[in-house]
Amino acid sequence: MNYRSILGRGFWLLALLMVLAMAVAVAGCGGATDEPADEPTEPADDPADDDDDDDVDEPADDGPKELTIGYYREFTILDPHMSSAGLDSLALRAVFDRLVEVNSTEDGEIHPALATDWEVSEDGTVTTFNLRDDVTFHDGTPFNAEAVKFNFDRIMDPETASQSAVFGMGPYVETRVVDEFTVEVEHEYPYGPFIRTIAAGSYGMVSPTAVEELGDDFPQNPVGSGPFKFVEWVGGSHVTLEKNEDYTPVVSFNRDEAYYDEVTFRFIEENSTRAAALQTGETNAASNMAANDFVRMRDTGDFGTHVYTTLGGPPGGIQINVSKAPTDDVLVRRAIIHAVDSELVRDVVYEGIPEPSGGVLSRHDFFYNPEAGEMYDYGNMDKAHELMEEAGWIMEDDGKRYKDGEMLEIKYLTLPGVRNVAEVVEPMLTELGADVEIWALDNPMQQNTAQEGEHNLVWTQWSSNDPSAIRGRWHSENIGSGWNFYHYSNPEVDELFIEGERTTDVDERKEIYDRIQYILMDDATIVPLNNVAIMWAFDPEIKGWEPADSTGWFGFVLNLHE
Amino acid sequence: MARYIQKRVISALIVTLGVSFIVFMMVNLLPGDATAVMLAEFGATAQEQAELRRQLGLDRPLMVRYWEFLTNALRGDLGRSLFTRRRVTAQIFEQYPATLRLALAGMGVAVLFGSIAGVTAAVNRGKLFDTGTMFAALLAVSMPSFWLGLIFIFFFSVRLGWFPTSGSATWRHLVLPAFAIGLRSAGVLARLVRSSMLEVLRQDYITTARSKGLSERIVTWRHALKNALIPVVTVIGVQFGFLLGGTVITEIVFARQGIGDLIVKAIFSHDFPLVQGGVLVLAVVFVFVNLMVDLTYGFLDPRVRYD
Repeated sequence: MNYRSILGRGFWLLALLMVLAMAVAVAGCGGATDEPADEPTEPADDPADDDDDDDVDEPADDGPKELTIGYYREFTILDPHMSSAGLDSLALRAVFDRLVEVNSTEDGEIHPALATDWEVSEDGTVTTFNLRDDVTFHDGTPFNAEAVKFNFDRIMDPETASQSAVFGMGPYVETRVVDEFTVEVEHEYPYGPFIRTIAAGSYGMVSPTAVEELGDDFPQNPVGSGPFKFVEWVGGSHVTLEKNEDYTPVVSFNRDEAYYDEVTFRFIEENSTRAAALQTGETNAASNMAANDFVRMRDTGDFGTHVYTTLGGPPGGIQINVSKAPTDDVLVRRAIIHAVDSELVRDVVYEGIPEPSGGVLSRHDFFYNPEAGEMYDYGNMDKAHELMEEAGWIMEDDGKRYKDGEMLEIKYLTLPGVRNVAEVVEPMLTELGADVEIWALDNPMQQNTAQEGEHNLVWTQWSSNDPSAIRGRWHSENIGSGWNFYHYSNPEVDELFIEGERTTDVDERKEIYDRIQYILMDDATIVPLNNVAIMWAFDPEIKGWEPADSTGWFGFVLNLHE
Repeated sequence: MARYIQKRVISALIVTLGVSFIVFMMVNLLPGDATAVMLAEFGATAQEQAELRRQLGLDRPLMVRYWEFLTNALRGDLGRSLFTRRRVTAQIFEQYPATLRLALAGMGVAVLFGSIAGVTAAVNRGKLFDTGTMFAALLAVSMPSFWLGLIFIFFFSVRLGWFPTSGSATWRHLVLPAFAIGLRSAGVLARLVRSSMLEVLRQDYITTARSKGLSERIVTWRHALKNALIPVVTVIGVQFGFLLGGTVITEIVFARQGIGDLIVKAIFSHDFPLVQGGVLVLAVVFVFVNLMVDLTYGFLDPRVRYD
């Protein structure tokens, strides 16, 4: 049969194109080796009986030990000095070491790491670090005083356009090399947060040689001295790290060497897919789970689970704009704080997993002031009504409150991702007699809108290593062009922020931040909701999830083992 | 034909330039900039944000930046992403193969299932097969692809273990996403092919062909289908063009590499260089696919002329 004549060249051209397309599609896939082929090797139809699957996935005792983590986002940039994202810190902490570590979740103490000890000069402006003399970067470059100077100068260099590290350097003047393993860091005036801040992931020490050789490509090929070496980053797919066999353990409360020979972070954004990939055995752990997936996985009893919380603040809460009516009245603000039943928010939105927020700072933070954090009776509607009456807002028959003929109107600004929080809070405010309007705007636009100050309420959630970071939220210098969405201006608090930064004694600093927290809560600037809860599920044989890093942000890959 | 192609290429250049300008203005005129996203987690003071804005060059006049983008683009340099600091070209070419594979496989599913179902339904008009097929097609068209994707993952990966849940490394990673996006287009095509076929089958020349004593098979597949295909090719072209722009939802659900997800994220974070570069590449691809579709008409219908 002459096929050509049956349908004409047009059809066959099209058919040929389609066949070619399919061939290219299939061949292209086979040829692409841009992902470790970690497919389910067996049906995982019965989660209760998945022991068999585990046997298949697990390496034999003498084979390389591999860990695959289903991670909730793609890393942004693996250059500690440039990164501004907490999501990068898990990898940054694995590849890089820092001068010091803070075990904040336990004692708030600062522990030696690449620096064996340090001393602050009498006038508080010069910090002298003695360095370890037995550490080398992954590329063989020795770690020494010159390297520290290179790192601090690089953070300050405008070319680096640092998005986080530079802000913790304070009034940095210079780093001086005293001898091969001693450096002095000078500040213009005493800067208290410095030593605690440089324990954060963004102060990892990079190899100077690698930066010079790789230039602009360093962030995609990071070289540090940490327990893991960088292997590859396939965009949109995964990052692979391998064990650094020559690792010099520098932190006393971490493992001396990695248990896993290879760790892969596979980027799986969709919550349900990330959970499914753990169920099928494609991954060994799932990060940042949605509360409903987390509860479901936990309740099967087949997976281990761990919940991380963050430090600093303010944790999850609602900022109140103190300069826009009706929330310019402190009584109204206090009424709102009383009216919001934060426990209900935590139950409905987060399945009751997160702990209550400490208001200005996380309850786990060394600097947390319980007197401030527990000042209000959350969800006490009677008290809330009482305060509104006192403020002169009278409830009318339509269920709304009025004052001088004006209806009580509350504008609530939120990010679209946490609109559900606003939806749980809305009826509480309605019960209080308010007419609530919710706006959901994504980030760059949200900042712009909140800076203009047309809102009464705006959802918030932050974290930091040192409480000095909250200056960006409540200092009057940040009204209109920064993150002072409270539009809060209090000369006493402004003064205290500066004092808190210029004091180096930790107990004195604690007193200052206790006072700041008290004033901010007494002025009713924030409705505390929840401490940030980062939920992980994993194969039950993996141990070592307890936080041992300085921020309490995520586990530390080094400590995971079976 | 050569002149026609030449004309089309020139108009494509103009379209691309126009698209790049409109996108640049749209993204830049939105309130706020990338520093708000960069600093959203740990924050900074207003002064620190302003300093970062200056370091990234975001404080320079719009037209200066657009001119710089254009002149660099002509040299093949699309700049670096503000967030990852990687070359935009490298990021796009890293993601594009996965998008291309998914688009082709999805289109394969659509054309295969869509045309067979459509033709068979038309030939069996009014019978149970016809009703059943059209019901299935309606179902496929109405189902959101992310939902279909999640159902596939639950059923074929978690329950049956046939395919991996996510990723883009091998052909096995391609099957579920290809069906998740392809079935919808198959539904569209099946309905279109059916109605197009029915229309053609009613025409006089088909009656003539039948009266000449030609077998029903030849009449259907040779005489009728070819003429029924013209509207179908248009739809295939349009749908394929969209698929080549990346299927954001499917890419996210199956954690695949792909350009759609890359560009959408860049838009949300105001990562100008990546948005600009990405849209430029997509515009070129889209225009190219449309050109191909227009040229295909000539093969299907000799009456179509290109001058």
